[in-house]
Amino acid sequence: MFVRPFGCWAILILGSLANPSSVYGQVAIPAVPAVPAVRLQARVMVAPANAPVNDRDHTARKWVRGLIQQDLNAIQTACNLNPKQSKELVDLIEAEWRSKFAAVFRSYTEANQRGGVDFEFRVETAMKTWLRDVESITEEQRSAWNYELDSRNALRRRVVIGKMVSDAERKFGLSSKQMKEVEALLQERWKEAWWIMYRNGTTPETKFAWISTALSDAQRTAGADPSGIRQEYYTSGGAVDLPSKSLADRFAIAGVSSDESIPLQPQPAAPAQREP
Amino acid sequence: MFTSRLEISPLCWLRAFAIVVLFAAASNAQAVLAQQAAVEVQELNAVRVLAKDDTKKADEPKSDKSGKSSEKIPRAFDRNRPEPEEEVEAPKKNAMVNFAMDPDRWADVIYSQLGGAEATFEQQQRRRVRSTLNRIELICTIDEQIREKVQATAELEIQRFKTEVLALAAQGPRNPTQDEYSEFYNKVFKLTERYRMQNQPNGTRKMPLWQKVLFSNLSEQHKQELEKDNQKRAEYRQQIVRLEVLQRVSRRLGLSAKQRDKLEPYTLSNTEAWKTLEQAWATLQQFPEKEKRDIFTPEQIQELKKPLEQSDDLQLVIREFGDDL
Repeated sequence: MFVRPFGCWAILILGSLANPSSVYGQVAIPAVPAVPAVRLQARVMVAPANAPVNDRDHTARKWVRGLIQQDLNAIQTACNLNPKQSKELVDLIEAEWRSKFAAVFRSYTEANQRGGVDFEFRVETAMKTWLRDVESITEEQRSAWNYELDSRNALRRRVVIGKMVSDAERKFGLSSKQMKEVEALLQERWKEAWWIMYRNGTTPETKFAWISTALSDAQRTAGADPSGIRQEYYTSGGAVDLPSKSLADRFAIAGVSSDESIPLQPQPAAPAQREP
Repeated sequence: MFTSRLEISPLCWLRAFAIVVLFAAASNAQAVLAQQAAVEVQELNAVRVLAKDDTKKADEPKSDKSGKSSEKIPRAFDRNRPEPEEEVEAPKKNAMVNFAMDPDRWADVIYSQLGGAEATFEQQQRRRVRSTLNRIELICTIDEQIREKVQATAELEIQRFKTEVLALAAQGPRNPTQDEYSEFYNKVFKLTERYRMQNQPNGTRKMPLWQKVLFSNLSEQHKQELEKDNQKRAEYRQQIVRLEVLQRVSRRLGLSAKQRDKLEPYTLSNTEAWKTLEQAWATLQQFPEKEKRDIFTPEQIQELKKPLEQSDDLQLVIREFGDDL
């Protein structure tokens, strides 16, 4: 036990004797240009055409493909891409979609239900990046798509805040006039997280403090009552409204499909049958 | 000589006394032995009887209330043995659960139909009354006396319901079979119906007594104002439901903002069809071809032909109370 500390001290003392300028063995090392033993070259890695590991993985991939295809349709309606732009865009998406969503598939496969994975948000973010990466797409077309996304977000905001106002109406006994006032107050406090929460099945709670200015004295007294219990209100969440697209079908926009040279996602292998 | 023969020496007397004592002791010992033997036989019989009882009980299913303390002492020797208790009814072979459904359990079952426990129910009902009164006070002034009267009526209703729950729970079968459970559940359903009906639209629900008391104390003008406010609130809620369905249709078909704007008037013209995604999807599938072409792209029309896929997801669980006046 005592050998190691003694050894350390011995080295320190010897070191300071050998080089009096150094204190506690901190020897000045001359700068030598470091040469790495192996030089790594940046290379674009093509994602391996891995098959879905299980049913959930397969379903998640179909939903993502379905959402991408729907967004492509919407892009065509909003931005009116020419054939060259369309070709570049679908080729890029077909090549990258698997690697871009690998984390999404993994988290959905590992989760025991849909909660926690917001497919729509991920697809919209990825689509924004892809539109930016295709240089031939003009700024006007990009801004047209951004307007589309803003419009979607506005609708989501109306829905979630509307649900929160309905919840507050039951909780605090709001009148129709107060509902409008509360809606305006919640619009000011909007958070993107509310939408994700709502998509995952729970209406965000309308805090008493946020809306107390719109309440009467009697409502404030009742609202501040700690015995008041929160009514749980779950939405259906609903994967039924997520479009799905087969892994064997190519992405297409305005009649232009992705290039045949880009490998498609292999279908999941059928379970092996046991021999009798 | 004769007298000398008749004369018995003290030694002889002593011998004779010893013999008598010996005989007496022997007969006494026999009696004790006989008594001991009798007790042993009695004990053996008692043990046999107990053993028989034990084997009988082992054959029977175990019940919760078994008199273990009284069985420790053999009943034959227990001077203060209690009167034999009534045998607890063993669960039937086709019983739904392997435990006895006592009244407390049944009361829990009844309150769970209303979305919580007894305390939750009380709290919710009181809160409903209070929030309704607060809302009405924004439109018209309510006298303090009327307020107290309404609250007292509501409190009476709560207590009456609790009594009804207790009475019904006491009638519940202890070890119900599936059929018995269903039969009893119908009674539970009837009892809780009036509180469940409160979440239904105005036309179908039965008004609680406290609301009747409240309404009877309002003027006609105030009643009309309240009704108008109710309609506005209901319209707001319905509009949000329609918007949500529209948003889900939009996600499913990839609609643009312009397409949504075109579709929105349809949601207003047929409000019933836009209450759920399934209803809206079916309605859109039945749209005339011309209207479909006006609103949707060819790809979207193709997508619209597909059925909605069912998948694993969150269950629709809505617990709402207090959708009142």
